[in-house]
Amino acid sequence: MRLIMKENPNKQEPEVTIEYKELSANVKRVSNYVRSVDKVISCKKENEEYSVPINEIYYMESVDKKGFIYTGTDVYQTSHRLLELEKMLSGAGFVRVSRSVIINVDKLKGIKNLPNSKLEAILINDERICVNRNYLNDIRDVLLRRNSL
Amino acid sequence: MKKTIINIFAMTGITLVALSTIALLYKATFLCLETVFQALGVNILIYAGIKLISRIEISLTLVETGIKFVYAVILVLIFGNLFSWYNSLSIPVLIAFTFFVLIVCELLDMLSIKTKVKEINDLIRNDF
Repeated sequence: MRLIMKENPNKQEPEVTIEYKELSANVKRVSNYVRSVDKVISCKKENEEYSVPINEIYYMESVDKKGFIYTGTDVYQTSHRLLELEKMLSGAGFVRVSRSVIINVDKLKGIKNLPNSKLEAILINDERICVNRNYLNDIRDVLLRRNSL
Repeated sequence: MKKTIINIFAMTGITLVALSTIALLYKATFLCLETVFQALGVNILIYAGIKLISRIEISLTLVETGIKFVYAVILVLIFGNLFSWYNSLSIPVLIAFTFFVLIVCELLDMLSIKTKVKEINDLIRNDF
C-alpha cells in the first residue's frame, strides 16, 4: 500500500482519499481507522454534557458498574458500558488490558514487568495501569495492525 | 485455541519427563501407556481451571498463585485415587511432583511474557 501525503494550504481540514482496485480487508481496515479518528463519545462531567474526541482519550475504566473516561486532564462519566465501548472502538486503536480497563494504544509509552509477576502499562502522561497477562496478545495485535496502517 | 493445545501438550510433556525421572530414581523399568493419557486428561483439567482462575483477576499475585496450586494439587489427589497412582507414588511425592511441574510451567510462562512485553515495547518504539 502506498501512502502519498500532500500539503494543501487551501484545505480547511485534512481530507483522506483511498483509491483501490478492490475493497480488500486492508482497505477496509484503513477506512475504519480514518473514520474513527473524528469519532466522539458523549459523556458527562459535573452534570454537563460533553463530546470527547476519542483521540484525546487515554483510557476508559469501569468502576462499580459506572464507566469513566480519562483524558490527559479530565475525567468524564459515560453511560456506555465497557463492552459497548470496546466494540465501538476496537478498530480505533483501543484495547482491553484488564477486566475493567481499555486503553488507547496511541497513548501507551510502554509495558513494564513488575517484580511480583504483575504487568503495568505506562501511559505518555506517566500514569500506570495494571495489565492482565491474558491481554498481552491483544495489545500486540492492535499495535501490529496500527503499525501496518 | 492453537496456543491452548500447545500449552497442554507442553505441560503433559513436562509431566511425563518429570514422572520418568522419578520412576528412574525408584528404579522402575517401565511406564504404562495409560499413564500418558491419564496425565494428558488431568493436565487438560488443570489447564482449564488455571485459565478460569486467571480470568477472575485477583489483585494479589501470591493469592492467585496459591489458589492455582491448591486447585492443581486437589485435582491430582482426586485422580491419583481414581487411577491408583498411590500404588506407585506416595502422596507427598505426588504433591511435590505437582508443584514441580507447575513451577516449571510458570517459569516458561514468565519467559513467554517477557518476550511478548519486549515485542510490544519494540512496536511502540517503532511507532514513535
